[in-house]
Amino acid sequence: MASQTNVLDDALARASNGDEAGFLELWRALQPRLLRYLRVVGCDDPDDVASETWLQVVRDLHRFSGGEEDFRRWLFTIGRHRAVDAARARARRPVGPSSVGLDILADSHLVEDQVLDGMSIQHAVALLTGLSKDQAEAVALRVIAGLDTPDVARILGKTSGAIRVALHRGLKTLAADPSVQALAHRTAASGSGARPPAAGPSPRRAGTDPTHWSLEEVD
Amino acid sequence: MSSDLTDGAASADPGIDQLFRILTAGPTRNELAGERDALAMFRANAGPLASPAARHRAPAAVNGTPAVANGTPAVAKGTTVPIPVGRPATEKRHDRRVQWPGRWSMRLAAAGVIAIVGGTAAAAYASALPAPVQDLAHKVLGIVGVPASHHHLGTAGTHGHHGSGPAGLSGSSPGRHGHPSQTAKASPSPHAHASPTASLSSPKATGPAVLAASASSTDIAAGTVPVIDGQLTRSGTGVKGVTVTLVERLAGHPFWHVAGTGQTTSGGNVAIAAKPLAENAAFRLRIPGGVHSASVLITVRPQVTVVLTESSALRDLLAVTTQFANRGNVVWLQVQSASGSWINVRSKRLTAAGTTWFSLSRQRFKDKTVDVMLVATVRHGSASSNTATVEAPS
Repeated sequence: MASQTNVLDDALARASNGDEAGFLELWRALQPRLLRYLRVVGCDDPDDVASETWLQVVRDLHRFSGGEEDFRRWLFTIGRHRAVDAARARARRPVGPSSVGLDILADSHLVEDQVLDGMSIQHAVALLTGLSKDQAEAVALRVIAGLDTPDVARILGKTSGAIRVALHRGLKTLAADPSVQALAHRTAASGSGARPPAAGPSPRRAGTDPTHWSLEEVD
Repeated sequence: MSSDLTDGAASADPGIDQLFRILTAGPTRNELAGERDALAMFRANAGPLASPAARHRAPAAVNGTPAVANGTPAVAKGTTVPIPVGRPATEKRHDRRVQWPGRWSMRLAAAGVIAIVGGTAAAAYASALPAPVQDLAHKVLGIVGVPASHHHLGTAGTHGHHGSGPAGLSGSSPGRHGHPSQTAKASPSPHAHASPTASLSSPKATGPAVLAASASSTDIAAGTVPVIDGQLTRSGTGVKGVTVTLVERLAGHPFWHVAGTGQTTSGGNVAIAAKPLAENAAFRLRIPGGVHSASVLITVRPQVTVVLTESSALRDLLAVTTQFANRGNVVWLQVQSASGSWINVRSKRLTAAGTTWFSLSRQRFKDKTVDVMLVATVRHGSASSNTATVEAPS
């Protein structure tokens, strides 16, 4: 994300001046992450909520000033509020059988697309949804949205300390998941990417303390 | 990545690292499917961006962070990031007030009294006061034209909803509570009572507005015009004369588009036809103020036709043609069993022209009834073709 900063800063400046190409650059860079975040927080219709989010962004973009990080923070804050609104609306208007979301159909029938388009991302998102709500949202905002801990705390209305605890616990739970362990083994076996297991003891390996991640380390 | 979270601590888990790499991986095809719609939305809504005047008019920066009011972040659950317009609320204003001389305080107090009295009078003229207060205002100021509460509202029991017009309905949109921009839109206009939607203030028009949407058929043949029926009610009573907008979201597209408009009848009913549908779509009805109905999903079934022709003495050719299906869609050749159920035999994908074919052994399929079933995708429902019977080899 950091490597994109300069490019997106420029795109943001152009989008703010009404430049379509600039807006598209922003949209292409952030829409996937916004969708993934919305899925983690349990949105029934992430595409719909994302479109509402971008609509508000576009309407208010002329009043925005700041860099790419500021924009990201703003975008995900709006996205979160739209997701909360959507959840409330859904709770007050129980959905009948005729208003099943299109995404349900998509999940049921676009098997080949799911395979081609990245089952692994869906699986990864599903792993986050297995966390508690606070932990999932903290990890999603920190990792998917790429926000720092104070920003996450501000968006979630919590203290930075509480976010660190949520991140710490969330990471611990994720590390204990067999799917994540399998990922670690696969990574180690392929010899690519992350360091080999021996170099960085996982909390779940024998002989290590599963609680050795200190809160200070989580930020 | 987890080492980023842990400040590069050696405890970073390779599995977590890999998981985070996946979560932050590049976009998938589906995630960027709505690009064209996003661009259209930008074009439709970015008017103020291109206007230097607009930019100048709103110099206050969102600055990427939630607005800060009175020193505390103004972000709350369920609310939108407030976007300050004009001078932010800071303690500067307080300092200036402290420095005002005493006569200014007196003038300020006098102005406040005038504002309150004036505002009350204006509200009385607009019949915007609770019924008892409105009646009192009528007694005092009736000579200069202030109406009694019943002049505009009919019977009692409607106060508090007076002059709401479409904006007054916004409160029934749970998704809009606390949304500054929406709230601004929902502010009752001084002329609201004269708007075409004044019938919302009918004698029985109390309580939140409820906009329901339905379709006589949620499962239609491709190319058919869907008709969405709606009803706008308040406390179970239909609301007449409100312009209702039908919005449509085609499958796989993230944005809503206007598909038609209509006016509610005396019973609050409206029926709006959209354009012929070639793919699945969700529809909603909307009225001004941000109120919208639940979504109605219309499933479209493409047409699938099979023609059986003799290709040789031993084989038949089953040609499959479709309308409104897409390249790559899967079709299954099905055979009817003795019990009447259909059994999938083999599958193929449609060509760009929406066609494909199956070669059938007459010996194997003799006297069997076959058809082709198009598998549903996000863009359309499943559909079955006509049937054909394979004759025994001659």
